[in-house]
Amino acid sequence: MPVEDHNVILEEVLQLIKEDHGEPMDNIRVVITGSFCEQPPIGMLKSIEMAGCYIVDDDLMLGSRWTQGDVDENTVDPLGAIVTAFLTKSPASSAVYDVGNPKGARLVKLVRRREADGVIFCAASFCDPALLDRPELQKFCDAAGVAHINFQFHENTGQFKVIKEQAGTFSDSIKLWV
Amino acid sequence: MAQAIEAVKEKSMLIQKEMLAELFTELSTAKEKGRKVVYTFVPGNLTELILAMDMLPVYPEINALQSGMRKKSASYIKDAEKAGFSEDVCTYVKCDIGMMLNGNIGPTGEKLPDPDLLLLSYTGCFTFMKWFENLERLYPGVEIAMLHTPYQEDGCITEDQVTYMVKQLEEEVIPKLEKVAGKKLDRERLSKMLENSSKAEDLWVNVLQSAKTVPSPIDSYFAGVYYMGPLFTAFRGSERALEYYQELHDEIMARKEQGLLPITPEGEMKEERFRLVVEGPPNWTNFREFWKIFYDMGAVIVASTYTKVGGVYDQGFRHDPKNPIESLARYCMGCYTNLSLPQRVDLLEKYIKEYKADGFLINSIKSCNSFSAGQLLMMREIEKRCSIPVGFIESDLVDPRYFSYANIKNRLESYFQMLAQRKTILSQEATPEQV
Amino acid sequence: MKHSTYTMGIDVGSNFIKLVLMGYDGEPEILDKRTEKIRKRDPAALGDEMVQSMLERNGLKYEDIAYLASTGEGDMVKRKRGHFYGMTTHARGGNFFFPEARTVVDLGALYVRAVRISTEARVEDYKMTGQCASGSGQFLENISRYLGLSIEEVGDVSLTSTQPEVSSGICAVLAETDVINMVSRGISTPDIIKGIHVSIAARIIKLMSSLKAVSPIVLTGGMALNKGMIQAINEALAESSKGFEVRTHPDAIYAGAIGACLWGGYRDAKLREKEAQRAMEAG
Repeated sequence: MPVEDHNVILEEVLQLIKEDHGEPMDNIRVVITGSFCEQPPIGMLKSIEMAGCYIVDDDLMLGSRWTQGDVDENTVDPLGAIVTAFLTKSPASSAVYDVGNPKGARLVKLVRRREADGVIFCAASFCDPALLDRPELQKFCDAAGVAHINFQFHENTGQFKVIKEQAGTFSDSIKLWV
Repeated sequence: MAQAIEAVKEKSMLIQKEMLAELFTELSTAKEKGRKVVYTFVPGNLTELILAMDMLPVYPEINALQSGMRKKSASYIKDAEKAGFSEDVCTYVKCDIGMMLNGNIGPTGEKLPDPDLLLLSYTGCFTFMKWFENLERLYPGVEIAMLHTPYQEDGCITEDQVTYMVKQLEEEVIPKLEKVAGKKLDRERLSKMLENSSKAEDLWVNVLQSAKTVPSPIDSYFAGVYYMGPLFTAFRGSERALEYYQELHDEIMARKEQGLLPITPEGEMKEERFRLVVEGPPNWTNFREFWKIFYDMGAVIVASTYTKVGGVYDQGFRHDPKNPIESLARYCMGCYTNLSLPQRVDLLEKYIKEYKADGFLINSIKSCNSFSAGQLLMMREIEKRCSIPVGFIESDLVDPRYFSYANIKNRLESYFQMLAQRKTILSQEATPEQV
Repeated sequence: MKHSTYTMGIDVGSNFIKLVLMGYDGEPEILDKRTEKIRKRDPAALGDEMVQSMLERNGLKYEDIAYLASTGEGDMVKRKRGHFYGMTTHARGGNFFFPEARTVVDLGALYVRAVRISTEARVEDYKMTGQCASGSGQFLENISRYLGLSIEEVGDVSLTSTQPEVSSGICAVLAETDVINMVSRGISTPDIIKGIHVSIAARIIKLMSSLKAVSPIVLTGGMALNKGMIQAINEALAESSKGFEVRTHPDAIYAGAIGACLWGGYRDAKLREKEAQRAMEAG
């Protein structure tokens, strides 16, 4: 989609966000994570939401939102500035070797900043980078007392029943027992 | 690479067996003797650099496949899954982590030493990076050296890529190795080792190419994984490796002269019915059973891509004693899994033609993304270009849950039937022309 | 308004929508309840219509309801404040019927689910029948339709069986073929129906055993009102010597909706408390 067209939509969205849509539902707030280079099927996101969760942050489409801050413009070394931004203003991701800046700690910080109730790990099956990070991220969540669940989804399926069940159980357990 | 075949004892096999036993004994006493230990991966390894600094290499994939062959991988994998690893991820990683969680006992029953350095020269496999990230957590504070090997995106190695690799080697990798080893790299010694490597590589290529003879004196896949062991792992560049390849070379050449067929665990094959090219790694948990399905049907693997993961030497690459660092850089980038898909298809097509193959078979590994991604595409392309029967089976490296003997046997049997039918048709078509 | 707080629970199943209105002054009390067969209507619109008419019937406005909670397939219900997962609400519903209940078995249209619960209605463990339809209410309904019975008649018909004919098929498709064979072999309708009840009962008891169900066990869901089904379960239990104690309740079909009402009430109180605390902290 051309940026110009996208900007028009964005402006509409910003307007919509400002409007009053009544009271928010009694849902829990979750961060979803799975090191998504692309967007997972919309059905998966909808299933999580319909099960009683507001997705308050995510790591979808990492590639197209990699630099999360401005590239330094006042420099004689523009290439260096891009590299610096790429390295230092990027999200936590399984594509990054993280010694010194552990992804687990960054995830917990994100959960706190978004006042999330928990984390849903939902990497695509066979996604080695995301799945190999999972045990470590879970360890950080456990240490910080952040509730979490995990499931894998299979790309190209429209089957989200199990995901809905798991997300629903997760939402209930936080709403009723935390 | 793997333990010597017990049933038949060629001299070369005995040498390899000795070499492995010595290495694991050295490893088990490394800490007492103050030897530094480097964990590193097979594809694009820097063995000569490690050996030239008197350090000892450990290859986690090799340990994993050994665990697979010794039927230990299932419980290691289960332990790793209990620790939170998904059922879908690389089973080498899970097997290795499971082994470490169980005291890091190596293939010979001796304990493997902790690493002093994790040398990540990952080639063609992103999972390697995740693997070492996980190892770093098991050995907090261990030294790490990273060598980022770019894929052959353009279907060739560019000069920029060579410059990038050499810079990393000179500025990052070698200084880190020197720091851990506590001494400077002796470049003359490195050159001498690369000279040994290059000579062994010549011999290895002759061994591989002996399979162009009809009938082939070797099985280039099932026996090939034994033959490639010393060159692909801890011994490349050493005198012992050279000695091994000289012996192996002489044995195979003698077999070729005498028109002998490949050796299997049950002795020499009686008949060569089908000549196959195989893509993908073998299964290790049921290696013998898997092999037997082939030799029982008279199927010989004349060329395989798996025996190129530690270097595509038969396409001309040699380590170069006159240009040591640059040749190491080119070596890393040249390994099979670092090639682009079109390059892999071209190579397979070449093998099928040069080795006069009757069929092409893919063993698709469930948990190996770097090998398996794109294989169906490759299969269709080969079918189109070579018009020979293609086959596709699925298994796994070291997770026995994904090796279904009955299934694989069924598929292979119907595949062999197809090959047999085609042979009959071809011979019928050929006869009238000859008259 | 008679009560200080009202909640509504709406349980959308695959065939029926169940709606319950509860009022609180101390102990919760069921004020109104209704089931409606969905037929081919839009469940979201139908649910909303049911909510509206129940409000009117009770002289209430939507604003009077502290919490409208959906459950089951009710995640598309309009104007709801929150949604609870079916297992959570059936656990609470079973606990409402019998506070001492330690296991709830939900006999749904598409599956049977056994849930072990704490005395506070918290789910401890659960087991479900697979995706296969032959152990479910829907299957029973299909068969009764073939046999010319309404679902309401099935229970009584089953009770008149003298020699139940148990279907061999585990798969619904095979079982249906089986039933056609039985009809042509002249097996009586009661014996066919009872046979199906017996086979479903066997599967339910297997499920309870694999869950390590703790008594008392309460049956919920539509099939729990089926007298023939209950009798088959009791007979099977007597034979099995498992010692399970099974109970039923006339409102069994409303278990999910009641659970949703109650959890909604609980959440409302909790959120008010949080709000009050926040207000206090803000000074």
